[in-house]
Amino acid sequence: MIDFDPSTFGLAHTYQKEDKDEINTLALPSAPQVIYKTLNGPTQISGGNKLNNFKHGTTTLGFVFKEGILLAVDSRASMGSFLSSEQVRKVIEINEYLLGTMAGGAADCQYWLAYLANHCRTYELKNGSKLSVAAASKFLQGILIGYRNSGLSMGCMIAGTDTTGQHLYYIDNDGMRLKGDIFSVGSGSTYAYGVLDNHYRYDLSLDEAVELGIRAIYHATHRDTASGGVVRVYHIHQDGWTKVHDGIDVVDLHYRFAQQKGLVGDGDEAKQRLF
Amino acid sequence: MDSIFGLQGGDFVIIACDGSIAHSILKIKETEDKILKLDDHKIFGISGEGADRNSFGELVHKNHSLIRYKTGGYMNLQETAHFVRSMYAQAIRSRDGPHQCNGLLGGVDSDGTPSLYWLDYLGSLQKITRGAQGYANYFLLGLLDNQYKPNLTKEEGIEIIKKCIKELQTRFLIAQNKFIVKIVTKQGIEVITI
Repeated sequence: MIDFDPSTFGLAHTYQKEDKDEINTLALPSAPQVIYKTLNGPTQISGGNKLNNFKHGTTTLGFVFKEGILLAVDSRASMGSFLSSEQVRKVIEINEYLLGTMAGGAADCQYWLAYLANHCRTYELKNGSKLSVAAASKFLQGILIGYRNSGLSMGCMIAGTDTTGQHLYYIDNDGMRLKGDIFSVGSGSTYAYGVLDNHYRYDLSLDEAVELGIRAIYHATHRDTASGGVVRVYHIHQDGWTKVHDGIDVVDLHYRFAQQKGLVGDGDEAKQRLF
Repeated sequence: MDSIFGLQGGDFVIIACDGSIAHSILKIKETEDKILKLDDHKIFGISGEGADRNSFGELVHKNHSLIRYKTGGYMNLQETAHFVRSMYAQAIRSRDGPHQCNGLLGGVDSDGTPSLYWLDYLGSLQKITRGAQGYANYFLLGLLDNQYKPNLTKEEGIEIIKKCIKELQTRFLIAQNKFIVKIVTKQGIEVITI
């Protein structure tokens, strides 16, 4: 007679048990008790009374190539039509060998990636070896499956290096985890994909890859109103990660790229005249 | 939007799936393998959105391994199919609701008999010779019914699957370019990408 209780299996249950045993310092967030009344004007939260309905525009991208992985992100945070910041750090440095990108809810991404960092360090101390990228991303997936209907909003990429090489995973709040070579996430991702798919090759050199990442983010920020600010570029290689560019203003990029084509960059290429 | 379809022949079972993962208007990935290998002679093609496919697949795979370990190492296709069905059925009135994915379970028993089972998210189970999950049903059942005959050979089976893929690429609104096809015979599982 086969006798098992299916509720003891499944990722959500595993996560909750481990949480009580190991991690005492970070408390799980509790639901807000107060609903704020919406105001008119620039502080109005779009989507009505829901506190967790922020629009977060972003473009983040990552791709695997022969020298490792390149991550490039923009730096704009917007709340509806109000730009709350142009200097957000959307690449989260989990530890010296893992990076996470942020898209969707900033708080959700920051908190859960910090939680993941805690878990990675605890694992390393307990087991004497670093957590692999596959395992770290799987752990995050387990958390997000557990919170599936709670309104978390995260579309992040986990990229890192371990003994088997450099790996890139896409994880979102539905609990989906995908391993792949090219990902772009955020409201500007479609524009970035256009540039990325067109010029991507596995055997890009580091300089070419950095240039491709910068260009793809620039094009996304140009067309997507919710992306902008500066471009930050990180490179993951077998010894960890390096910050290649800390912040290149996309406005400067616009005029630089226009100049390369012999244009002024004022948007008047069609030379429309009214009379 | 996943297409999973399959066929049972004289001594083999084929299950094919499309490779795309879509998110609103974007195709995030084109090479995702949606057919899970349960053991050397059983495969389970799962169709569902988001994490459901992945997490239910893992649940089935690990529980299947656990039961085999507990009971001596081998489960035949009929036992496996009923086991998977019971996992679906136990979830339907649970707190989280039914597992939002459908599947096609196929394989070959140790005596060489092939079987193909159609499984539904509410716990329906039906042994079939040809079938599909998702929108692929509408495009392929006519073709599969027309082309099927008893005791197909492996080569004939692969030809029919290729015709099905061509039909989906011709008529289905959603572009599905890459398909992963897995064939189970007494010798084991063979994988082709089309």
